[in-house]
Amino acid sequence: MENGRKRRILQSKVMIGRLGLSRAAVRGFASAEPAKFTVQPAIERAPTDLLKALSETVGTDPTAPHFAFIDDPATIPSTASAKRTYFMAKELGKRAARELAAEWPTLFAFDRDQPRLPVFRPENLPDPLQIEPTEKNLLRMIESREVEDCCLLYERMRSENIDVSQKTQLELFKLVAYYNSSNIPFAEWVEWVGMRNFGQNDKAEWKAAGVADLLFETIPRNDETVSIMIAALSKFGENSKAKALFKEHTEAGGKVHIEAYNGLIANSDFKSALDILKDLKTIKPNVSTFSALLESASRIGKFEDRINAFTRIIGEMQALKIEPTLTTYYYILKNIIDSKTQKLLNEAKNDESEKKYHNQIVVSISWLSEILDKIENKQLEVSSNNCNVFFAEAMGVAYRGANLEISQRLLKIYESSNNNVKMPAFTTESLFYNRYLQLFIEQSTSIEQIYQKYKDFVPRLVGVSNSLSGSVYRKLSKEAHWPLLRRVIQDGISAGQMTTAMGEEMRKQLIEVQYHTLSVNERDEFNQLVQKLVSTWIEFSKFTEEYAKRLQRKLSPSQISECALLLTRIGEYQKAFELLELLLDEEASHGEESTVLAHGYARPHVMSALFEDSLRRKDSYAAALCLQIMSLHSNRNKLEPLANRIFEKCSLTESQQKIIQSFIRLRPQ
Amino acid sequence: MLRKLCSNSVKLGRCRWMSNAGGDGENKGPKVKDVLDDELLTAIDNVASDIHPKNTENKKSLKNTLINRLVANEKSSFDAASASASSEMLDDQALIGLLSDVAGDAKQDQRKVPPKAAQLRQERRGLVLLRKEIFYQAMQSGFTAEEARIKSEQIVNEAQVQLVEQRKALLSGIQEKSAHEQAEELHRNEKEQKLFEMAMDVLEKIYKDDLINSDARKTIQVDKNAPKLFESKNTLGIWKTQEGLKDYSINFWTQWDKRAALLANESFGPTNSFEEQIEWTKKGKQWEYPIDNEFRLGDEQNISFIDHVFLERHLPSLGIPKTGPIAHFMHLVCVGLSKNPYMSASKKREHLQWFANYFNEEKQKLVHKLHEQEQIAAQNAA
Repeated sequence: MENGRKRRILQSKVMIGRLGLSRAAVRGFASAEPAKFTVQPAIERAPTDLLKALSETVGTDPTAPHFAFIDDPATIPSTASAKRTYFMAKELGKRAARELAAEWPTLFAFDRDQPRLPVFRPENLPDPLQIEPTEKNLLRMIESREVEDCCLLYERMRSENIDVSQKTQLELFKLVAYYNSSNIPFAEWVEWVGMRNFGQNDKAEWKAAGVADLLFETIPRNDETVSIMIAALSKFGENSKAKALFKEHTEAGGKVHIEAYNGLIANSDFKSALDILKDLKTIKPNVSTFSALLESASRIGKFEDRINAFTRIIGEMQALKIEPTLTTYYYILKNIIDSKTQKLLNEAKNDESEKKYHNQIVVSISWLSEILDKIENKQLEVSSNNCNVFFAEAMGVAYRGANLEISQRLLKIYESSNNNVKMPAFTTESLFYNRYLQLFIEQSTSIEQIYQKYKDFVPRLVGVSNSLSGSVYRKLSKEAHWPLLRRVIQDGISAGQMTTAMGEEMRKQLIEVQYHTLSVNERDEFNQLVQKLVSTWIEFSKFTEEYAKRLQRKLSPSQISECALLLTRIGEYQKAFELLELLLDEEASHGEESTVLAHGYARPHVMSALFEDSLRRKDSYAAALCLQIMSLHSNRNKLEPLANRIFEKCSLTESQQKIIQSFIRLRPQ
Repeated sequence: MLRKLCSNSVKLGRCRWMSNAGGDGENKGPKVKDVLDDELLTAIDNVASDIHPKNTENKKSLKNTLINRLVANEKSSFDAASASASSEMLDDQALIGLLSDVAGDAKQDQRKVPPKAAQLRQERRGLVLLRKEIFYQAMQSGFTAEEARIKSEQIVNEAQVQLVEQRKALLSGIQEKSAHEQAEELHRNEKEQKLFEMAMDVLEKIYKDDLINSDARKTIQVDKNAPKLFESKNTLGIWKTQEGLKDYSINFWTQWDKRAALLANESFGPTNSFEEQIEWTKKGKQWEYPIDNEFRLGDEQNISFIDHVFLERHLPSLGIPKTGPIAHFMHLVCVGLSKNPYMSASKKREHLQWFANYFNEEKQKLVHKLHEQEQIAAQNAA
């Protein structure tokens, strides 16, 4: 009976889903026993919940470039520097427009939209020298973190004898102490992402006798204000002042907050840091305290003592049940290998320094493995702005230890949904993936796997670079793989490698391709690629006009010979020999309009390959041309057998033979 | 190359004379051909047949004696050489140099494949040298000469087998250590393991072959003996537990640090168009989801549709007559206003008020009069 009722309720609910509420109600009334149903209250959703759900479902498209670059395909940047330029160009353009709109709002007066949205009407920041000098305005400025403007307004108010309440003064003191009376650093810019990530501030030094110092003298001294001052002085490198203030305050019976301790510890050597900590016994340390301790332990010179200090700090954290964060691990990994050993190894490689380095790298790898054991399957959250650098540092350790397995574990952790710590895409993250990819290419045993990985990462996550392309070319010279070669060359073209040393590598690799092993489609691709490359190189050589001269890259004789060989491979004999003729053309290599470099010589093995090819086709003209080019740098003895081979293979008239023979005879012995 | 490696390890099994000649009785000893040259063997044959041209038995026994003597001689010369030279050669750089030379030779240009025989010879040369090196190292680490000889043989063979296995695993993409390998590691003690690792190092260099990662650096593995990061019982000894400790923090400092950290975590902005829309929504550039037509409607937000649509109810209070042409007209005005979505309810009421003011008593009378005249005119016309 009970089951029957439940089933009916369930059915009615389904009905509501299928037929809609009203029809279900009618059916309910029509039956003998009216079905009871309740309308669930609507689930409260925040304005962005729906979008978040959609975003999570869609995720990031791994086949497309970064979202910021989705535009005309021809403009998609592929190298790190091109990405930076592109991103900044977009952002600075937007900033300029915003500035214009703020400066001359009347130019954009034709706006009658309702509701009126202030976000589309940028306004200039109030000028601290013009604005009414009131406390309210000062507080508004403090709120918007315009530090230098706040300082100006405050100084103006003081000079005009306008009272500022203690509370406001404290708020201002907090702001100017935290930011050293300077505007917020690029790293904290909210709106302009490019500046936030690419902008670099000089190392800030404490502004002595600035507004912070002035306010510190004005406001009453208590634990809080002294702590703020100590933390600020430590943050901006004024260690001695910070220590003196700490001593003065504690001797007067005061007690400072944990942030002040953290600042003092981070700037001290390990021994003094421990001494400072002894005062801290009743105050609860936080995870930043241990990060500061690790920072101070990293200054210990001796390797064994340093790692001992690290283990003791971690031991203490475990005893206190304080969970280490990625920042904690970052400080450890960064400082296991000391820069001295590394420098020594780079300068003079000897057994001792190598052994020392090896020991340190073994510990790094072992500890990294322990750390990964800890953080695998754990929810990772941001705790400080060094958290994301952990991944790059850890990948650096895995790379140095050439340990692909560990690097793969790390990658899995980084990409898992449990991880909420993200590196900035075109800077640190790109470095992270680059290290991984380089390691993968180095260690992998399968060229197919390298191809897959390369396709996944380049150029979306890792920018094309000479070192990356170089390492792939090295693998390709061991095992041929046409799709990979094609991809690397195409990436190289879009990264502007054609006119660099990598252009030579491209030709070398293409010459080594066994044309007969390619499929019909692949041969077609090969033909197109060679045509494209050769015509681009020729075009680059033809920028002889004055205004375009800076773009010109003259063809070198070796380049001409290689291009000609590639052209013969794809059956473009005429083009190939037209190109070769340039080597014998004086005008092409001399004068204002020259397109060929005057020095250098055609590659002998390439020329002999071209010569053999001409003989095979019984093309006496082509063979003679090759002979003439080879004669530029060969003597008679070497040329004679070649001439004889022409006589053998090609049917020449007597006079033709005579011409060739006398040509050879005129060559030096 | 793999096949070659395997066949080599089999061959090595045969060349055990260095260790087995003085070993326990169960080992059969080396084959004569492995120890003595073919030329020497023919010479022995000739000598035997010269001395005993007819007596085959005598010939055979003489041959055996000669061979045994020569083998013993070879062994004793090896023993003498190794025992006397061991102390000097322990730090013999030349030998190590030679080993690395062999490794270097093997590493040379892969494309020019040397003749198979030459390559095999070179590899064998490398192996013999390696065995010697291991032997000296073993002597140095405290083994007796006899033990060291056995160890050198055994370790090099094991290393070779493992190398073959590793190569196989690499090629089939298996990353895990084989159980066999782990078991092997267990039965080796520390000293032996050290020697084994050394042998592996050199062997890997000798057998650099056509694997595409032959130029890869050697992987540094996790060392179980390295100091542990988390298992150490050492502490700083400053705090014992969190009990009794007080939070004493400048909150704003921590919050601002956190703010900076969260900003750093935002990378380069949106990574798909939904994230971009989230950003727009937060900034107030885009209407919020779910779609609501009345979003940011302003003053009208709290006004019911009743106030917009049912306007005739205001007429009586405005003094508009209930019947007649004005009432008819005002009915039409109300219908028109009720259908206007662009006008606020108060504006609609203002409109009605305006009409009410317009149709004052005077106007009402006038309209009434005009209306009557119209009707009369219409009747007359009919």
